[in-house]
Amino acid sequence: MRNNKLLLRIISLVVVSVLFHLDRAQAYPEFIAYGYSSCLTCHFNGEGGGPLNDYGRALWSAEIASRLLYPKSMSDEDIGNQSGFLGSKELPYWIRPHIKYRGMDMVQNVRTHQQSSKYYQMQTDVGATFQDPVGKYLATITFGNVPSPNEYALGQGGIQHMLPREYYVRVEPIKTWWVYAGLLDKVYGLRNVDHSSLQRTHQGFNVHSDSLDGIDSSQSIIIHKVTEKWEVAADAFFGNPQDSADYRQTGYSSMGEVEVGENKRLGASVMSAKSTKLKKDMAAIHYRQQIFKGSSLMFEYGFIEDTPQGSDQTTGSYNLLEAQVALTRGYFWKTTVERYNQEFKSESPDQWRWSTGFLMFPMPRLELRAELMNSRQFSNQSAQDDSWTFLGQVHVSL
Amino acid sequence: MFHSKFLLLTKKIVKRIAPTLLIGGIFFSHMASAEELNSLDEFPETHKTQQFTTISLEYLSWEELLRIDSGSQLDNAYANFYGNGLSFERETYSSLRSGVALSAAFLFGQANAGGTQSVLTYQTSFKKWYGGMVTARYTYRMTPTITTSVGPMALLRKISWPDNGTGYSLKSGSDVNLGLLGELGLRMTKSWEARLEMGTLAFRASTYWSVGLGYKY
Repeated sequence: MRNNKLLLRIISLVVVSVLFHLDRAQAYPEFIAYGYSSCLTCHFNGEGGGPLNDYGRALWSAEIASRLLYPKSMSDEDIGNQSGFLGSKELPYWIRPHIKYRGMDMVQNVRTHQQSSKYYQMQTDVGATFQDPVGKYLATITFGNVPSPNEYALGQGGIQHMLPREYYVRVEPIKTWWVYAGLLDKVYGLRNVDHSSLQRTHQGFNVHSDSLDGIDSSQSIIIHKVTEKWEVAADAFFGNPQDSADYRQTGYSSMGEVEVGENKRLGASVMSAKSTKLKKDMAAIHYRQQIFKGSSLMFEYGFIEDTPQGSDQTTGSYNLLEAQVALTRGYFWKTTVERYNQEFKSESPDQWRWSTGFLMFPMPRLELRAELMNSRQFSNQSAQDDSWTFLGQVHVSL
Repeated sequence: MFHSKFLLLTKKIVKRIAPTLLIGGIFFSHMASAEELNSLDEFPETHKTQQFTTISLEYLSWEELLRIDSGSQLDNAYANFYGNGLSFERETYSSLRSGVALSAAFLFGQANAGGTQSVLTYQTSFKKWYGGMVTARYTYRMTPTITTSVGPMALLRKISWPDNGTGYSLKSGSDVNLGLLGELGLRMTKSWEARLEMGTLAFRASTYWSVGLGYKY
């Protein structure tokens, strides 16, 4: 029986791997769909995520977001010129403030007696970036609300108040070489913006402190080399000060990406992290490509080896496939297929999630998401009924 | 120590990723050149009927309702089917954007059932099944590289649930099931297409989905 499952797994791996083959970045790695393959194009943090630079703001307004609220007489360039923190009023070159809010409404067990709804305050951030005229030297700080693990039904403890969530200095000592030092997200895989995804959850990139799996940001030193055709980053991290000592992860990670065709990138990542509570080793390969202008396909396949304190080691795998289809400017149809298995054992259940919905930018600075997700589990212990979840998300970025 | 740990991790990674990289290498060596892909930037200027054939490999799954009958008592449970499919599809476009797709597939895999019911105790795993699926779908090309389609499906599958010595009579779903299927096809190259399908089945069964890779010519 085990052989059968193994065979089925191999065949499935072949199907899934061949196809979807196999990126990271918490920004929008799917925007390779617009021909932007490096996160550095739009973000101060070249690994993606966090505040947008001037170009990123203008791009969101002038190319990605819908322009339905603007009169036809207004050019895209005019809309882009209004994308600053104070609109078209230009701030001094040395300061770029930012405010971000992200919240999610999750309705679980849709249309059953167990239906429940909870609203998650995912991100409430305010901060500023300070830079020299050419962006060779830069420092950024973001204060934000850190949710407690209890908020996510992951036990008590942790902290819940406004804290510096991200702070770092960025220097370009040699052309195309960037060095980051401070508290920032760990370098690894595709930075999928959805923290509730199986990929992010089991990678240990949670948004709250004192979680066994780990928090996404850590005090780190990152070296990042970016060229037109490839990039590589190495991260030595020393723990997140918001975590209790037992949960603080130290370790290293690396991610590389190479262009294998026009707007096609193949990458790989490794990470080894250790805290008193957990030892975590991961490796992943990823692939992302433009399918048509605004539309993309991306895939990540990875291994996760966890050794919790006082427990046996488990080695499992996951995959993430995301297809984004541009319907019209500012509106996208998004389909995501995810799988996670904690252990390569027949008795370890395969968890699958299949979600489909819409990603919408009805106007600059505003993002809305609405997705319906089917969850199914293949277990040799019991065959469960499918569960359905509705996810609605709002993101405001000033 | 750091060095030996790094070596050990590298060894594990190579051992586990190597097969995927090998398959990946084969796939990328067959990827179309940039020039070839640019030919998909616009719809071809033709008034002739266009036809495509796609052979695809899929990973698929659906759920059925399981009825357990002991003779004196009845209970209900679930059965999860999963497996692979080899499909053959013919698309015909009489206009640039819309057309018809007919497909037939051979399916095989395993199923798990039971374990959640409250009255009768029954559970079985890794039970083999095989079957086929035919679909007829209206297709719409959103762009030269993105196709959506929707239409009826018929799923035929053969499975015999073991009673595990209980003497229960077990029946799930239906040997022949009908449903509605939607598909999204994304052409990664001129020849290779990623395919995502989702559907719903009518008779004591529910959501069907699949992910696959197709070779189009």
